[in-house]
Amino acid sequence: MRTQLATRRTNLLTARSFQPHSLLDPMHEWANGIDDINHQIVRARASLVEELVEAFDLAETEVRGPQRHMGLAGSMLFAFPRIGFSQTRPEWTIAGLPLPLPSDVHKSPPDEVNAALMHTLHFLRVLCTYLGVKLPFEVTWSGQRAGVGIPSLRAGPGSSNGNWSK
Amino acid sequence: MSAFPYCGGPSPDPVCRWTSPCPLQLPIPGALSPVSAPSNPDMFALAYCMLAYNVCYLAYTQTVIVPLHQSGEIISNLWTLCSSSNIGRFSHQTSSSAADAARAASIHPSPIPMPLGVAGSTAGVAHPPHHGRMLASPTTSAFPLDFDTMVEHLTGKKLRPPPDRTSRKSGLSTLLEDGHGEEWAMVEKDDEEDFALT
Repeated sequence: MRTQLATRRTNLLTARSFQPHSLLDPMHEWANGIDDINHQIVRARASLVEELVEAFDLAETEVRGPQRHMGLAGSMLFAFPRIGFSQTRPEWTIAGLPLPLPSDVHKSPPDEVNAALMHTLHFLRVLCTYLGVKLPFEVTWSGQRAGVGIPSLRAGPGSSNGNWSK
Repeated sequence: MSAFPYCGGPSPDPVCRWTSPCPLQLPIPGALSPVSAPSNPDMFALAYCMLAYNVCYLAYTQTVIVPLHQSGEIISNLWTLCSSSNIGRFSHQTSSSAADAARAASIHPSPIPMPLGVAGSTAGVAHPPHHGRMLASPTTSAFPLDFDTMVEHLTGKKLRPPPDRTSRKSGLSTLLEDGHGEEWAMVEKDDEEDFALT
């Protein structure tokens, strides 16, 4: 009995002295390696996002005032720009197109608003791919493929473990 | 199992009420295309709000706070979030570095309450909630911007979700067959139906 206890004690002491020393260094190495990889991913993402912003030309630019639905009177005003409606104002644009609020969409040509929306949806899709982030509302297309047909938004589905991402 | 598991359970995600597809396209006057966008302005406004909410949530995951009064400025918010010094650090698919996670935990223990209506000067200070090194599961429960409040702010009225009469796969095609979405008109001031103005 005493022999067995002594053996067991020896084994436990050996295990205690053995385990930390043998595993600590690899664990530190592993953690540092993961951090290095993460920093590389962050740098890569930042570069990709910077390029994306340039490609879609996100910028605050000078945009002309209302242009449509003004009839003959509006045409006359454009013919004499000093009279009015030709003043520019700074506005955020994507690919040179402003995206008005829902309350102001009637002031802009609908095809230009639709184009700005398409650019924005595409931009956001690529941006989320780069960042690895899942959004609350998903975009579906009437053509069943991204960019084909009319886009619609709705609450996105989740998986059984409560994670929206794949 | 439901396709929208957040809609069940003890505390369903608030955005799960909005499962009906809202077309995000304006109708073109005189367009000869057989498939044109539905001409319901409320549906368009809702879809716009969903897009704006997505941008605000994405900004939040990248530690940028978008105040309610600026939540509808989609392009401006996209530019602000893309210019954030913390861009790319937090993700649902990869972990952040130990230093980032420790920094987030030391500033804001998870979950982080973020005030609404604060100035943009707080951008880059708050961090989204983490589970260890990973960005927390993408529910909006910890995200303080309420979608209903945002819809009311951007549209000037309270809208309720339209009834979900379509399956997930045939959503929009059915919608377009229903007379260009006119049947989906959901808010009129004198409407007494369940999904009327509240």
